[in-house]
Amino acid sequence: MSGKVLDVSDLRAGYGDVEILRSINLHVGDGEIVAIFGSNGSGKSTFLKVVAGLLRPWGGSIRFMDEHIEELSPEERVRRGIALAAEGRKLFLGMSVEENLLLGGWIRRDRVKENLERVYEYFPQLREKRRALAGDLSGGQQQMLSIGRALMSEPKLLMIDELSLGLAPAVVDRLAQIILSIREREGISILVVEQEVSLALEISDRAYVFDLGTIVDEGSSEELLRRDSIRKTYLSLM
Amino acid sequence: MDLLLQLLLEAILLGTFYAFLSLGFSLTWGVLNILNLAYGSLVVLGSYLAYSLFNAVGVDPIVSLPISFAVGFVLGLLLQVSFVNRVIKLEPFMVLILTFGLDILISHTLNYFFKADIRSIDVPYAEGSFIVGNLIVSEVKLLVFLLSLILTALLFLFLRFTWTGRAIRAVALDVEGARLVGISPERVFALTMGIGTGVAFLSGNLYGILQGFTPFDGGLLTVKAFLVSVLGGLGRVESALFGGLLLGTMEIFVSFYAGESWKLFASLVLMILVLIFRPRGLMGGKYYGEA
Repeated sequence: MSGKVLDVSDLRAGYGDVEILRSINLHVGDGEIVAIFGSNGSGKSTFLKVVAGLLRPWGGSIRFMDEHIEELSPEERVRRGIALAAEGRKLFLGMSVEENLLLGGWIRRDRVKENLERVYEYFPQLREKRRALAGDLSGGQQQMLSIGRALMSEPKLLMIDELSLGLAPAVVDRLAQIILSIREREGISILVVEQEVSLALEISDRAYVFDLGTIVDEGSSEELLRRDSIRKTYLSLM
Repeated sequence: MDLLLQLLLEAILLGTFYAFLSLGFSLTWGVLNILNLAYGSLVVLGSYLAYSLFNAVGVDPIVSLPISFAVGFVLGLLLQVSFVNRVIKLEPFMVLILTFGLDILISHTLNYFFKADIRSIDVPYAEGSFIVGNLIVSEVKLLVFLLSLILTALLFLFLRFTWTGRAIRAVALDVEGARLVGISPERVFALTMGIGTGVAFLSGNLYGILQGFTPFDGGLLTVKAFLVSVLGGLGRVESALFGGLLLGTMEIFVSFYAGESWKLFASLVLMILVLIFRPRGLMGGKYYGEA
């Protein structure tokens, strides 16, 4: 393998006639945490949807573990090792927490018990609430469930959309810790879309800045954190 | 008092059958979001299958239940793959036209082969009735009640506790969410149509045991399945049971006190009232996903 789990080049996509992504070039290395940030409507979530297969690209290539996946169904991509904790969570709100997790393990039914135990170790709150309806959880718990459900499929690439959106700061800190420990223990790659730039740069190794469907800046997170343009535009620091 | 108890007994026996009858209809409605207007005719097709197996080959109508389900399942799968999948991407209205056409096709084909005479499956071991206290229990009604109850319970357990059942409920709740965990909604759609039609055939088999039937009973059976689904609320096996018992009670009491001819009228009035005041059904569940 080239060392790249995900390698996207010249990707274009949109809805109807409206082009949202124009020529995106992005990669995620083995075991890397990569963050995407940028203003609203810059195409971050759309990008994750295209990688997960929920939206067909107009052009360009997506390679996962050195294989082209543009034509594959979302289901097949899950099987190959891509999992998305989606925007709006896409949970089964009328089912219990545990049923949501079990369904997350649909393609790994043989190992569902071990995986369930593993997810409960990351998120003890979910164990306590395992009989509760997903729809009755707090926002933070739903985000945990969404990430936990994604982990149930034993992904090689975990994508998380809008990690901190609408969550209390204490919950966000906790989630950030858990994400770091997931990477450490699972050795998987993580691609996270995050509005909150300081958080995005804090948990990631590298980051991409999206604006109007293109990448306007990229680099290691440490470097971006020091860069004046980033500090001025996104961190309101001088 | 005895009369009241007798009527209640009849209502429970009939209502449980209605509940099972409606399950296939409401399952495809809840999961695929289509109203299958051919449902009643598929039920009647199941009656004629059981009838033919019994009269031509001598297969006991209880033994024929698994055969009914298998034939219905395969037919439903084929219908989904060859017709519904092609039409479902268009307007929902097109599915109505498709199933309406199918309804006409089935009833007239049956009429061609079997004529419009009333047929029935006479179970030799359940022809009479017995008395408990002051209640008269018809053996054939009791038999159909017990079979309906068992089959309803099986479907409930299947949806609740098996991987496939879970996948069906997941698709009913959130199609994209299902894709994200690796479930193929297209496969689940086909499977659900298979199970729904299998249940239609099973109901037809029971219907044939319960009473006489003709090729044109389908329309009324579709209305009953629709009524039960709306009364109980689309959604759960328990809702169907509730809706079925309500419709059964209604029919028995109205028939007895007002006359047989008011039965359908009263049911339809009830349905209109529910649609106006509680459009999500009296139980108000949402689709087959909810726990």
